[in-house]
Amino acid sequence: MNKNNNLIKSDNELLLPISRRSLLHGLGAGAILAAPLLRAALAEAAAGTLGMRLVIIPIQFGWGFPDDNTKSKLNTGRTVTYGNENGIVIPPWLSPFESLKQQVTILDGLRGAAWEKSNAHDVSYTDMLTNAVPVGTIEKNGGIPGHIDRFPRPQGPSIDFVLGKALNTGVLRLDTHYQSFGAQPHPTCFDDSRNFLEFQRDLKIAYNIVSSGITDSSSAPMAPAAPAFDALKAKNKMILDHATADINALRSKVGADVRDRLDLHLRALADTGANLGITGTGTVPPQKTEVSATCKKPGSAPSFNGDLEQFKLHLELVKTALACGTQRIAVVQSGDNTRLSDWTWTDANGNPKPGADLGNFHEEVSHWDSKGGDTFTRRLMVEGYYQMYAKAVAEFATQLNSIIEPDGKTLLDRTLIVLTGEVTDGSHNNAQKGIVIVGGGAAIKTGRTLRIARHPTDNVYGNPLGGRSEGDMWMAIAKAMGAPLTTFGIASRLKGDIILT
Amino acid sequence: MQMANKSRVFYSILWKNSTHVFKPLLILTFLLLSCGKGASSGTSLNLRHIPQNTKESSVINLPTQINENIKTLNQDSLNTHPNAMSNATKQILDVIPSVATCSGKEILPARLWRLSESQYINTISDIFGQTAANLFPKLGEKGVKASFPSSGQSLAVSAAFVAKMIPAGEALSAYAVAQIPDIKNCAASVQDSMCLVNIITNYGQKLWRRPLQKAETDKLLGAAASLISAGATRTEAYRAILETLIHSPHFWYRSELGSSAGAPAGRVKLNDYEVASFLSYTVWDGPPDEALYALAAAGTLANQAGVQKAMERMLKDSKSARGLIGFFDEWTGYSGVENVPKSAELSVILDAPTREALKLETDQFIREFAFAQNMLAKEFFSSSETFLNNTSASFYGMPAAASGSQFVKVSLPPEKRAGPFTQASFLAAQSGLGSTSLSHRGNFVLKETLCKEMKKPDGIADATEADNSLDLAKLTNRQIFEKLHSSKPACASCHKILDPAGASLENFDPIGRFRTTEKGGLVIDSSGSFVDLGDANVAFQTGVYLYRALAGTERFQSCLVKKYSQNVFGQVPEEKFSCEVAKLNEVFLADKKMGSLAKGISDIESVLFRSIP
Repeated sequence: MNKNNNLIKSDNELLLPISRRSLLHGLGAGAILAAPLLRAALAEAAAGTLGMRLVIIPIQFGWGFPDDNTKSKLNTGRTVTYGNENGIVIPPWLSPFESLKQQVTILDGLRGAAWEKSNAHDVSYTDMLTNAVPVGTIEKNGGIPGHIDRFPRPQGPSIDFVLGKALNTGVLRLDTHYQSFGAQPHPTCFDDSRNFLEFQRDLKIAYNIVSSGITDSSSAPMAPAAPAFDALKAKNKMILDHATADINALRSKVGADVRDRLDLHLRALADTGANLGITGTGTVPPQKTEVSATCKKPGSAPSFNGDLEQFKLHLELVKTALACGTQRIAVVQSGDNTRLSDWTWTDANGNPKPGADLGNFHEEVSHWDSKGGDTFTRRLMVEGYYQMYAKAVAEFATQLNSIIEPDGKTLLDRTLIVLTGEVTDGSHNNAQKGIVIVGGGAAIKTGRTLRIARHPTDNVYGNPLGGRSEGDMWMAIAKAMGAPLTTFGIASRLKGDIILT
Repeated sequence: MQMANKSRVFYSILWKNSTHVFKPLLILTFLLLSCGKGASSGTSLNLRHIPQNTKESSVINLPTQINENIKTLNQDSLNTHPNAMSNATKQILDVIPSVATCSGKEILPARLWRLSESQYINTISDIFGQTAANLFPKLGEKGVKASFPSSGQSLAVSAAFVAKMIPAGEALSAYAVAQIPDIKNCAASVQDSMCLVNIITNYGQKLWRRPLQKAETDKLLGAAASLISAGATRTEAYRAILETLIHSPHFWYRSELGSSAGAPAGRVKLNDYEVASFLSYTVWDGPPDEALYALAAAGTLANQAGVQKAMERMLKDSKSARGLIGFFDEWTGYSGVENVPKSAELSVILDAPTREALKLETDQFIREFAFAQNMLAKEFFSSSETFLNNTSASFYGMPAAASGSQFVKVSLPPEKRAGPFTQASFLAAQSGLGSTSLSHRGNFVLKETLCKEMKKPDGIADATEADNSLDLAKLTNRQIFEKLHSSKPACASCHKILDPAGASLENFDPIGRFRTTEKGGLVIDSSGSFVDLGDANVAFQTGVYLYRALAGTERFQSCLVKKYSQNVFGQVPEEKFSCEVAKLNEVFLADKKMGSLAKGISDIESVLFRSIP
């Protein structure tokens, strides 16, 4: 352990020893480099060359793709398919992505962490973003202090660190109780000294990390959680929709100088709509906002109630960071369903039920097959759980899709949102993981499913164990990010290229 | 530039370590050594490093005045120094050619033009009444000392602007459904399906200054129906319609876009409603009235003869006074007296009621003399008569007006006041916290009333020697400035003209009170003479006599027309527009009366046609 350790007190009073170097990276180099990065990013944006962004979103137990389709809990009573290279099919538990499906890519069947012994979860936490835990490692082998030695220390840095360094950008790492046993956040990110890179759990500090790099003095409050429909809001939406439509109609009739002022007006309306909590439009197409107009310092870190809201606010911060270029890479992880009481699922009769009914997700859902009980109801619960996250991410992606860059591409086109998790669906297996990439259309071919190794008959890249690994995926992601790597993690676990283009 | 920064740091350190007694000398030295640097770098000197703790001192007020004068010099005058201006703005016409000799055949471009503060308040007032207009915020876009800050095409709509207008719109719609009879009755009606159509048609045209197209009406009706079906009340839907009309760009922007129909090559032709708006906002500072809309509907504003006929009526309408007030305020910033910051000591005297009374004095002066009496410009700018109520009478040291709070015509001592540039509203607005802002006032006199654009100095040289022998307490402001500027070759080229012009108004203190001495007894010398200004090369004993001498000169009056044309054009009248300015000038010169400033508008080509930008 580095002698210059700093003790960071997280919101759950856990003292986490991390190195000074790790601290800087963990808090996001953007906190220090933000101003010049912002200038550089804006200069790039002005030139239309702003690069790709990466947002990695690991959630507890993955995003629901079963390692064995025939045994899937989520397929109880039905058969689910995901499509193929010619077209994607969004599975029901990810239905919020349906409207974005042409901008979604599913990688189905990736070889996950090198789990062969012990607990798949605990090995995978440190491996899934590093590809650097040797095959056969058990969880206590070289464990990470402060994490009750459950998690093996990887042999190399995580992809976010590698790309952050390669692209000279800060990395935002935010956590909402992605943890086990009610304790520490799972260690997923590491620097090149194998030190755990701290995640930020305090929203105020996270806010400061992002906002400190934004020199724009305009103060737009972070978008609050969507309030219930009311007449005032409907009226304001009507006003803003009409004004927006009228200005768009006028833009085509005026010269450049007047158009510039109308664009200012448009941005003013968009900002006002955001401040009033009005998103989307009902009577006119969604207004695309120029990326520079979106780069606004949030007014303050809002209070929040519950982990779901915190997760959403994290994504809101990430949106700001991506738009401003203060950080181009983010890892936003979330989990521990026992704390996720602020969501609902729908029972077989269509009634909303509290998420708290789910109880101990890990035991009662992940190990459902050994628990017995009503499997159909359990399926509905699990489906509701994934849809909760999917909805939040889909809203985030939709917002990115409404922000245009100088060349007309949207921020979503330039952002790869990688949805992953330590296992694939909580079945203690990650031999064939399903990973979703939302966005990134500027660099990859979207709207399709790459069935990598699920069945011998539809293998794209070979047999299940020899097909392609998560490490291969990160190599492909790095290439799409404009920072191709010659290797990543443990070279022997790399099986070959994954062609995302 | 690097040296300049080092100098600032150096003086900042000296300041922190110097005694109170030496601080004035430090300021002076700093100024002397910095003379010309601001202009040379295109930036003003930043004196924020220097503590301002002596600003409000009544014991030693010399540093206060000097410091403020320095600030004025550097932050105001040098920012508008010709050297700084030359790259930022295009030169105004130096001389107005005749219609026969003008060469600038260009006309105004097709454009959208956001309503200024006075224009949108007047618009709401004309449509819904003054009570409704009072619900709208004053945005302070006018500024205090700037020339035509909001009459140009640069006004935009920001998020802050929308944020202020949303609640204003809500207040207006609430007022309308409660107080405006036809809207109130319609909102209360359950069965009258045509009622809302009529409201949209009627108020839509007034707010958008043109009839709404059927698709636009249908869209609004559909939106109202959607709101009602979603649970909104009928009243809420009506309010939403009104607010939608108000927040539309069709309300906020005056349309002068025109179309190619009926236009010669390279031009577009304004439609009748666009002509009506151009005329009304130029002459009335507000929207067209029913009669003007009727002319537009009849197609009679499509030619010069129709416009001329409309103008004849408009110029007789009392709203023309509002247009003249708007022009004067944009030009001189006199309404800034209502909010220009003053020192604590002066604020006791220039309290809120006094500020308002002084502003209303000038309003009434313009309304009565420029509009109602249609004075000759020469008389208007040299009149010693004005309008005072009890509050302003007390300020001017005059007997209380018999009518109390009402304004009555009063003759002020002719040796103390002559026209609007010697009124306290203008003088206070153009002065600093506790100083007269001598250079700034001088800049206004030359640039704004004589259209004197000073030449770029020949090179920039530093004054290398500080004069520490000056006893500032024994020098008038004018003497200090003369020693600072006029005696230094690097500064003299501009300030030999600038400073006498500013000194001419030194008989008026920072809030516009007449005085003959300063600093406890130093006699003020405000005499001077101008050179290189044609028939405005006048000699004068004080500023009062200056304007009495200037008011009848061709230089002053042609500058007046140029400034008015700037108000009409929304931009500095460049050489390429010289024929349009010449037409305005030709009509004005026919009688040289204030009411004739606007007469020529019907003669300019831009009233009907526009160039394609």
